[in-house]
Amino acid sequence: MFETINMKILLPELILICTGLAVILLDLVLRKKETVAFIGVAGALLSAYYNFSLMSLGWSGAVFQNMFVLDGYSSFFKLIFYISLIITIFISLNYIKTERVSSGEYYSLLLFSASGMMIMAGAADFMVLYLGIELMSLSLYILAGIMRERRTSNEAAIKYFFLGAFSSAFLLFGISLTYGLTGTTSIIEVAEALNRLGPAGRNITLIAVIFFVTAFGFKVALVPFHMWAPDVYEGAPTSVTAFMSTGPKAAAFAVMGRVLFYAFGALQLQWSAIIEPLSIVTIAVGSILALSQTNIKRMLAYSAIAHAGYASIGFLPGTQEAFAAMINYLMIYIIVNLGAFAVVVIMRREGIMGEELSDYSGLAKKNPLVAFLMLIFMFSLTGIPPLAGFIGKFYIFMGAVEAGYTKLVIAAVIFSAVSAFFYLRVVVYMYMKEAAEPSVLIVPHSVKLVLAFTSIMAILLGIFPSVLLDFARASLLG
Amino acid sequence: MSGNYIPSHYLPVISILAFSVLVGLGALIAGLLVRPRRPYEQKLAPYESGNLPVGEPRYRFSVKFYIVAMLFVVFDVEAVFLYPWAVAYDRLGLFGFVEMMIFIVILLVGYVYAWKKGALTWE
Amino acid sequence: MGIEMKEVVFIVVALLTVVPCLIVAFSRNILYSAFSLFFTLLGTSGLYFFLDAEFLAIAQVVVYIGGVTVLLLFAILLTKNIQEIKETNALSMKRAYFAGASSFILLASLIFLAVKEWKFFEAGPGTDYPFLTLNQLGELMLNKYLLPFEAASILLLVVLIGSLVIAKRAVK
Repeated sequence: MFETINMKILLPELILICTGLAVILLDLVLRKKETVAFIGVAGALLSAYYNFSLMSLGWSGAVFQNMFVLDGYSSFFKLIFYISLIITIFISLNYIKTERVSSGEYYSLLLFSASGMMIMAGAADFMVLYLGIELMSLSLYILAGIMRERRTSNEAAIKYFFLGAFSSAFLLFGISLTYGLTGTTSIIEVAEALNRLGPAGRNITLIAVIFFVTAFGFKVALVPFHMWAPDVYEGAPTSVTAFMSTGPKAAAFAVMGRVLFYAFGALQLQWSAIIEPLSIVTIAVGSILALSQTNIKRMLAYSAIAHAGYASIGFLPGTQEAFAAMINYLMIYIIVNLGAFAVVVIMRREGIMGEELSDYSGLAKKNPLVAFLMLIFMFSLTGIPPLAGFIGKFYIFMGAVEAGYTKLVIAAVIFSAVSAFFYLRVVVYMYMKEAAEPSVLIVPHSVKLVLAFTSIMAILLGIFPSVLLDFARASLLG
Repeated sequence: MSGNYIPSHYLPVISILAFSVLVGLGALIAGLLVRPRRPYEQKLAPYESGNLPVGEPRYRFSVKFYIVAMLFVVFDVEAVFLYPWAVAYDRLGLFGFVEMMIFIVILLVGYVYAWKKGALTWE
Repeated sequence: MGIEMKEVVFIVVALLTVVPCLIVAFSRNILYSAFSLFFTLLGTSGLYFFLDAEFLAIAQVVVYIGGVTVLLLFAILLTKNIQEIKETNALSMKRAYFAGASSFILLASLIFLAVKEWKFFEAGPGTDYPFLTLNQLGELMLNKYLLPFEAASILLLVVLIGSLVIAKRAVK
């Protein structure tokens, strides 16, 4: 009756959730508040250790009659979430002290959000998937509005909440239509039912697919579902923005891939035709609107939109190889983006917001190392070889060209060149403009660690591209 | 039973609902028909136990009410979840008990948190 | 005899759901909207009864009517000048028409598909309309659906933390 043996595969999630509970309770009794952050990091590391030791022991499999799975696919995405979570905690240490955010709620919500993402990545049933999304999003809504005294933060939370709730409604509508047509909420059984229905009966499920794509489009901020992103990214605390633009985005791609490939694999041609225009419009709108931004968080928001567009190209060919290129791209993007946000976070000091581009003028004189690292991140986001960002884009484009999407790729490359303008403008400000006022920039040790990790990865993954791609390929196989 | 789309065994509930609605509406309508109608200013003023009403009737409530209502909804949902577990308790046994305790403990953490943060005190 | 008792009851319940819904959308006074939402939720609960989902119907009454409506009324009372509909609902008519037209197109296409393919009204393969007693529901909830169930408790905890973070005057 009970499959207690298989419960082991839930261990990574359970550890992370228990850490979150411990953090919220310990914050009530501990005097030194930073301790909870380290408990969070320890919990995340322990969870990651268990996840990958279970994988290496071959403990992968399903639990609760195929409600939740642990496989290579979910493990790869979980690695993204762990990196995103741990780096976010590190860059938050000093930042939330400056912003006077209370740490117990902050770190526990981060942990709960990350466990929601892990549940999403491993979901093999729409019910689990939905609860994972809600757990992730609800925590993020609160995190976006955690600076209660600041109006922009309130605005971010409200906007994010309304559009998130809206997208949940789309998701639920898609789930209920799918259930009505196939009689199941299990992803594998949906695929089987679609095979039984045959090509003629299958087409009606396309309307459910449209609802799913809309819902996930909101979560990953594909145009025309992107309106919330710039305001939310700007208003939320910078460390939360760093988290939001990486982990949850990857999680949304994880469920999107799971639903489209595993449940609606039979309708691949049709959903490719839906995503194709979305992806190119997303790249275009993201790249063009980023040009006129003077606030670096807004600029990175539009950049995140454009990158979601590049990543979604990986769906189009519908092959395992292209999908591997996509998750490879996501991994590279989140590492580089976290690095860039780490720099944005340290620009915020007591009395200085440090969010405008003009705040970066003369940074190369003030702190040459930070300026150089920011240069690496900006070059990598643009996709200049030999950095990691180039490799990510290269494999995505290569997969699309092989599948015959030549025009799309040409357009994407052109917009990629356009995007160079706004990324390199940051570099111009740092190196070619004089600082307005002489102020020191102190880099906390935790952020130093983050900057070292992300910049080394940005270079190494560019020089040895096959390491990550092979890992991505292997993950997809099982 | 399956799929006949009529909750026939709820007919008593439905009829008593309909009956009570009818009684309430009937009393109002009967009053409307029978009573004399001679309004003047004092009569139309809101009833304040004979005192003259002072100030605006609508003022902003304290946000504490909201927190209490929120706490209520959260534990309301918990109570709803307890119900099917309690009904199936004898068949679920120890495993079900442990699962339910996990559920309750997680919410208990929230309760302790709310208590410690002073959400339950009225200052 | 075309219409039986159950159809009459169903139509009453359906009207109880839809008509207050229109009031919610079109009323100029937000308090009226909130109170008519109460009836909509009651009607929805009645519809759940018609679908043999008794537990869901009761849960709807307990959670939505007992809890969420009260929460909504508190939220209205917390807000200043909320009755000035021009201030609280400053949406331009152009946008309203656009939203209305796009939802109408969506609905029309759904109905068109449903009528054309007709499959929406038949039970799909394997959808043998499971009637669950409360006993079976409890068992399913704590076996197969244990993960969503426990995730729901974390979700409730997050809600609790969130409401305190957002509404507490100064989180200590």
